[in-house]
Amino acid sequence: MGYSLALVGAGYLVGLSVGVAMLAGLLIAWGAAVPILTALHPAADYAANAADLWVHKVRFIGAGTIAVAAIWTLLKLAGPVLRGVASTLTASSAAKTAGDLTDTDMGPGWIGLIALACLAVIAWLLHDFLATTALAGSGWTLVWTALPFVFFGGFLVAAICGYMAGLIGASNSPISGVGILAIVSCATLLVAVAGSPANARTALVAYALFATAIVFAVATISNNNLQDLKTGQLVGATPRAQQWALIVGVIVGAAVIPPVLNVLAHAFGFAGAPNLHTVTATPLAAPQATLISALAQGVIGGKLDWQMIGIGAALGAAIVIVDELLGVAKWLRLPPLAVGIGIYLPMSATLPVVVGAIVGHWYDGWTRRTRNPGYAKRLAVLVASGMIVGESLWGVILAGVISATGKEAPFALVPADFPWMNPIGLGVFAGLIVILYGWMMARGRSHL
Amino acid sequence: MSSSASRAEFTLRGLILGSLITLVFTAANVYLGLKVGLTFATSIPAAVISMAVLSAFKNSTILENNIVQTVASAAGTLSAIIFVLPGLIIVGWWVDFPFWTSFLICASGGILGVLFTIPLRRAMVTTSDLPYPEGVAAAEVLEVGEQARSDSSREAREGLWRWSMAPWRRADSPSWRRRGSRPPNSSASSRWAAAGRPASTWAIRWRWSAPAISSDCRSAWRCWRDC
Repeated sequence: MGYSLALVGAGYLVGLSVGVAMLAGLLIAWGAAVPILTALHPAADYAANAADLWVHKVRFIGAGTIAVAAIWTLLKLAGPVLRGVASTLTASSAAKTAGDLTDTDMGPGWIGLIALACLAVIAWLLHDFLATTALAGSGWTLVWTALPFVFFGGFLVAAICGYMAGLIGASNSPISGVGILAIVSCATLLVAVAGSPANARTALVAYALFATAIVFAVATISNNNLQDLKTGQLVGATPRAQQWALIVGVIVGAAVIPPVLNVLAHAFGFAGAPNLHTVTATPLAAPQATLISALAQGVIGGKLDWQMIGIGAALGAAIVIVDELLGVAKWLRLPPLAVGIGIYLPMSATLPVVVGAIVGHWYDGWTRRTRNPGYAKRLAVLVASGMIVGESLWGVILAGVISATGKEAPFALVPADFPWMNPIGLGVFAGLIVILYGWMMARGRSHL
Repeated sequence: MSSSASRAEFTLRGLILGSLITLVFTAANVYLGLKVGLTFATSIPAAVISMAVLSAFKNSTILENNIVQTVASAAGTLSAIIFVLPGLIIVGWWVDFPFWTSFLICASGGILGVLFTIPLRRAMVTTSDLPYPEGVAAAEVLEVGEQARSDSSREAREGLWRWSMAPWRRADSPSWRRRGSRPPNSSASSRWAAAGRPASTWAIRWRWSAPAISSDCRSAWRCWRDC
């Protein structure tokens, strides 16, 4: 497991229900799926085989579960989302007259104008991309296939990602799982429209990746944005100002990304790329991009293994039913999306969240016996936030040092094969949690 | 809500600072994502850095801080596009990333994402009880920054006030000094009125100000212990 205190903090903030659901996902992945699959596909090296099967099979079960759970969540949210669209169209003028800046969105005129401009640019990009390929003959047909996909698929993906950021936080939300769903549906749609012509197969794969890249840009931004808007709500910000600020941020980021990518592509190159024209012996692994290209090629070449995604989807449907029954029985709910995320994310990311949620639940129970439960809970929120803040700051520093030194583990204290690494790490991790909670309890007890 | 004068929110200073943080975060995230397949959260570090930088400006507000955080985190998260875009090189379609095409993919998709979240905000933020763990953490950072800002400016004001006015106040109202507590919380104008004496010498100022400083230190320690 991983020893991330930020995830322990996130575990406290998400609460017991999400934590238990992620534990259920973890147990499904490592307690059922991996043992069954290793029994079906035995290999000499058990540990390596299990890790390999998890990457290439179990994660797809997780993606299937996420897909079903996300669609179910969206169906339940359809009412609020539609009301949100309607009230955005009417509320901005009402809020302006009422003078309540904390509920003022960008005006509907601006929204429509900018959306049309974006769609025009996307249509031109798609057409321009196809113009020089073997698919140029059916160019406009493919543009009119991909454009609605980008718009409506993008809206669905935005809703899913926003919900996941709300559930477990933007940096933990399994956005690559959304990328998997986007590329599989985009490639399937394109094959349904254009067939799979042998002479233009690579062009179709590239076109699918191109359209998915735009949807993915929508996904990443909405994943982060709803979280930013939540922060804004808590500090009393103006949504309209935040929305314009987000557009500025997007434009700056979009201008920075291509040159950085080019520098890295020339300096290191990507593992598996045919035209690798670099000097280094260690090209960038780009694991997600490799997986997503393989999926596009699999769907368009007709070689994709749908079995795992299907199992995951069936599992997702079963969990939805269980969750609804638990809701009827008024027991602890089991959010299906959190179960899917628990299957999809690596154990190192899931387990600390579960630990944080359970310890936090126990602490919350303890605070009810103190003289000032409000103070003790507020302290816990602050400490949990502090864990997240501290780790994300160190993440930035670490990224800087990795870039500067070119080493993968610049602060390594011991070699990677040091035998006592895990016991010591676990001891320090558990010790820090005990110290922090002990300190909080001492403060909570003495505070009137 | 408060008046528009106190809502310094969408400022050029905030946009420029957010864009500068973005430059660094995007580059670092692109590299880390391609190298090890992970990206780091950008909202909170952006909030902390902007808090530190904006504290140099007296008139900055929590809302402006929030805007810096918003600009910087938007771009930092956009760098997750590297989970898809390099696929075009990996399948052998591109040799490098053409600037305008890549820029327009990120910009048009990203802006569309911003527009989509406008109606979603009402469904998933305003009328929803989703926990948003990192959103809460970022808000806590901004709140702490705001408290530090108001405390330090109040302390600075009070410290300044005491430093210059201490001789008269001590002479005029010895009652609270004997008790060793903080001065009674009177408004600035009444303090000025009570201080109706000509300026005294530096020597007197220094002698009378020293206890005031130590009392500041004591109150700072109490505040640290209690909060």
